[in-house]
Amino acid sequence: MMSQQFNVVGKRLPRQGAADKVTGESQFWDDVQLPGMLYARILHSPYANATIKSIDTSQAEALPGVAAVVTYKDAPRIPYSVSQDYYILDNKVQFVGDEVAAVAAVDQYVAEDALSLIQVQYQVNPTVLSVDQALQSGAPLVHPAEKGNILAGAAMSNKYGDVDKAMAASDFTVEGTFQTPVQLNMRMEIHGSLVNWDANNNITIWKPTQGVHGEASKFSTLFGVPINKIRVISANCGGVFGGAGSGRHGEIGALLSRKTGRPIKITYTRMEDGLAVNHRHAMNIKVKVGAKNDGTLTAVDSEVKSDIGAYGASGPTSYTAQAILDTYAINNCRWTGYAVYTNLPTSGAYRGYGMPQGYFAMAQLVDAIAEKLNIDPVQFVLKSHRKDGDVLPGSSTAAAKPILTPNGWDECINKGAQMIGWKEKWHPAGKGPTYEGSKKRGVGLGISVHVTNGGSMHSAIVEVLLDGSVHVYSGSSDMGQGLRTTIGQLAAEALGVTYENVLVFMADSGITQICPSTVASYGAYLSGNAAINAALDARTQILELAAVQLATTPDQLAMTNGMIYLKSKPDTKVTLSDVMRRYTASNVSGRTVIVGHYGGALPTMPKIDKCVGAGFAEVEVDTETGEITILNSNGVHDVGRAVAPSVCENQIQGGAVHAVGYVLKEELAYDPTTGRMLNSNHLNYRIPTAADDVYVQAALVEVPSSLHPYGIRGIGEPGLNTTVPAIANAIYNAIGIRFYEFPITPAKVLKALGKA
Amino acid sequence: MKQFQHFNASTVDDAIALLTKYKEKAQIIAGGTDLVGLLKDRSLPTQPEVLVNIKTISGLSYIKEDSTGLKIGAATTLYDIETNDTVKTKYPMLMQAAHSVAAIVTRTMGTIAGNLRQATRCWYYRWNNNVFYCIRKGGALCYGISGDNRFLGIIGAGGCYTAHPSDMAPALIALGASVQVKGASGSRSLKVEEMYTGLGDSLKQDEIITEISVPTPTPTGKGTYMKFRTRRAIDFALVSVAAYLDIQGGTVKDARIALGGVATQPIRVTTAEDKLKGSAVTSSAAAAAASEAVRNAVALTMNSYKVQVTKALVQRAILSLA
Repeated sequence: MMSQQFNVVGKRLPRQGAADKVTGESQFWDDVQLPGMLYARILHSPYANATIKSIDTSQAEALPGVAAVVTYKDAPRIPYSVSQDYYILDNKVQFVGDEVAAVAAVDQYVAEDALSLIQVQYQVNPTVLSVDQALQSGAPLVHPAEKGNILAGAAMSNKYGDVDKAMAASDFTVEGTFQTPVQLNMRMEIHGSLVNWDANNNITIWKPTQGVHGEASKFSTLFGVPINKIRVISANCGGVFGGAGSGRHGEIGALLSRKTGRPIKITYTRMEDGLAVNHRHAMNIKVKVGAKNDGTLTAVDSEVKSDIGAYGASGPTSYTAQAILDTYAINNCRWTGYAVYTNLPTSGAYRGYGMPQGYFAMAQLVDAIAEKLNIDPVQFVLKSHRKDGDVLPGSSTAAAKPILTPNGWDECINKGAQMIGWKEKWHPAGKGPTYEGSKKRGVGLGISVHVTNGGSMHSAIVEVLLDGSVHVYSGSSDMGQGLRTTIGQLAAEALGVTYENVLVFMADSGITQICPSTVASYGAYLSGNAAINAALDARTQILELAAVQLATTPDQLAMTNGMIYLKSKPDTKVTLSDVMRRYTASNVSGRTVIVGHYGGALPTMPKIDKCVGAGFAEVEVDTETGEITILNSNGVHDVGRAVAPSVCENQIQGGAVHAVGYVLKEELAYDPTTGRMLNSNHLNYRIPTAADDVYVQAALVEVPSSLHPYGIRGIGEPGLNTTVPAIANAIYNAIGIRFYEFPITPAKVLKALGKA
Repeated sequence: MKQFQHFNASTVDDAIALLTKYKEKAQIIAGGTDLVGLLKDRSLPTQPEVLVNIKTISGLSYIKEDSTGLKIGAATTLYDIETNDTVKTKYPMLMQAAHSVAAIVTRTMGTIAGNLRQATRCWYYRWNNNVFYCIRKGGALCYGISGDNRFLGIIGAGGCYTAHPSDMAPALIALGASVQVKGASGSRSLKVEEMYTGLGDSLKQDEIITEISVPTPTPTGKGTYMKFRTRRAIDFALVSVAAYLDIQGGTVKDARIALGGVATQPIRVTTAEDKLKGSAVTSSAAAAAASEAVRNAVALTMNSYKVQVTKALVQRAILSLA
């Protein structure tokens, strides 16, 4: 580990691009206009499962203003998605809203008029509209080529220790079956793309995405064009939360651009956005936990069924297993997971990726055990969570299990408890005072241990220019979370320059090198590691040049804030810009710029870094109306090293906003007969607003991770993980009723109270 | 959105002439906060080919008070209502109702008459391209009865179970307000609660609302508007209650209670009012009135909570005026 004296890291500095955002100068993909651009609209399936018997586009093509229509006949017969189970367009459709055809026209209104002129004859097939239906024997198959409706044809499993024996030896057990809902992505920016397939076979794609390099690779495979001719640009994003990358607008746009020779813009409507962009998986989670009367947790047995929808974008039940198996010190664990196809829109990555569902279940069962043992829940959680050096059985399905590195979990829990006023406010469930005749209050907590490092290869380039100013090129994405700022601070720190001297370019596959998609809370961890090491590479080269000038050796030199000096005699110094001008303007060094590069991966075994944390909530339940108000809440997380503290806090708060909507307000509705999504809009799919108790107090704990050069842990998702169970446990504490299904709406509360 | 012709009317008569000429092909547009969404989703049973813009009619936006009460021009925005000093001091229930609508951007566009005449927010009704051609559109059935009805109403009419979304209507009903209507065959006035037919309103195709008049409350009259919703902004009411009580010497002399969000139209619950008249405002009287307010309610499969919430809100509204 290097010196941990920081000049730039840890400071609250102006966020890169913030001024542009607040003045409206930032360019988002939909702001880009190209000469000759056409607008496309998409025809969606009216059936939840159907085969296209015939499709006649001639009338649509004849409509004045229409340039082209594409159908499955125009699409390459190359399956893709994580499970290789869909095509850009296919002759079968698997959910209401699945994409059938698309029209490019002079404006979107003509394109929309043309949609109604496309004549499609469907053979309507039987459907499965729920996991229960899909798992019945003899159920219609979503994908007839598969053996059943379970993804990959089989359950997944993870076992550690001897569950049956340990469960039998328990003094008591608690169990529950939890039903967690679909959550729509519903980010602010609408999904879509602008695709320009030019006459030289260069394809440029502007779209919001977390992974420009993955997108470039996907387009290369689908269209047989080498990667160097594909450029994917995602300069600014209006949030992504896992969803950007889903929706086939980019690929459909490419089909239309190829066919017309014109740039194609496809902007989803909000309804299309809800249909096409991956959702959070609805899950059915059955968990049983065994305990001893002395408070030892002996065994956990779990079964998770996840509704993946029509296509296997991914089925993160294994992450749900992490939430269930990795959080508490239980050494006999079993998990069985089923990812189940249904004829509903596709579920996929969404902030938290399978884990909030598991925390909702597990934290409530642990809360119930504390109650049975008559132990204060905070004290019980402090005793029961996994400790440094414990195995994490859920983090790998292989026999070899990773080991948790040292962290600040206890500090997070204690700090959060103190912030919420736990000692004064906690009471036995339902036994608190009544306010204003009908209101009951309660407090609850949740803890989380979240993935922060992955083994993916990642890279960065740091370019020091003539005057000593710096460009950083990162292939990861700033989707609004502030990663550009974090990377700028890390590169400035490692190089030894001021933050103001660093400009970061990201999310453009044409000018950056490969990085994994900015997902799984590891953006700062991985692309930050790349930026640090690329900066160190540049620094080494600079110090070699400076050593010549100062007649010394590089190891005698240090660089801080753009000044290079002898460590032993700081007055002997030269500025970085002086070195750069002297050695790059002429042919002295044979260089025009200094380029630092890093490409590599960080280890994930046998030790594994995690972001651990705790969240607390205080709620008030109106027992006459069922309304739930969050009076206070907090999220305290060990971020290892808070490179940009405001960015970290905002991530905790942003996660909490998602949690408040998820647990209390957001209800996706399907028509039970037709499978049509009824409320893909901001009016009836009710994400919380600024007026809705979404303010969470964020606090940071910093126990540096042992595997990262600057000790960073990821914080993109954990704020959601802890707030979800904290609210659920607080509601139980308030009224003594446990909810096994959320969102916990007034309708559910009143029903549970016997009033509706 | 289907292409349409857009006419700027310069006078009320001009607008009436356009509506008379184009008949069911025409729709009135003012703030457009409801209509534009309907057009984009093509969810009206007939796609309008002509829009008659009444924002260009001068003298249709005003708030005046005379000896009989408040006069509000049909095209007055909700924002102008909620920020008007006379409204705030003498008709606070109207301010509460206007302020509770949507968010400020919508309120600076949406008008009082538009709020009264807005279409239902039932998601079956509004689904794109009339896919659910329901009974309210002229079809055979209400898809909500056997479908997902969590936000629908508990008091149906004509086979429809939509929940009327207006905030202004219950408040105006509780204040005893009337609308002035003008059409090809002349002008008329009707009480706000008489305007609705269950499946829509009774205005003819060529008629427009020109003014809303609110009688001056008695010196002892007080009103309140309570709105229950998922979020504290944006949402339409799951349940709303407008209550007006005139209490003299501890006894209720007059009462008007109206509900929103629970029936196919804003409804006045006169039998609940009768439970209060002549008695003191006590918890038991309020509870009796609240029970009476939902006597005709029939919950659908997913919305029985609305019965309880309505009861709770009616009771709270009454007690808050004591």
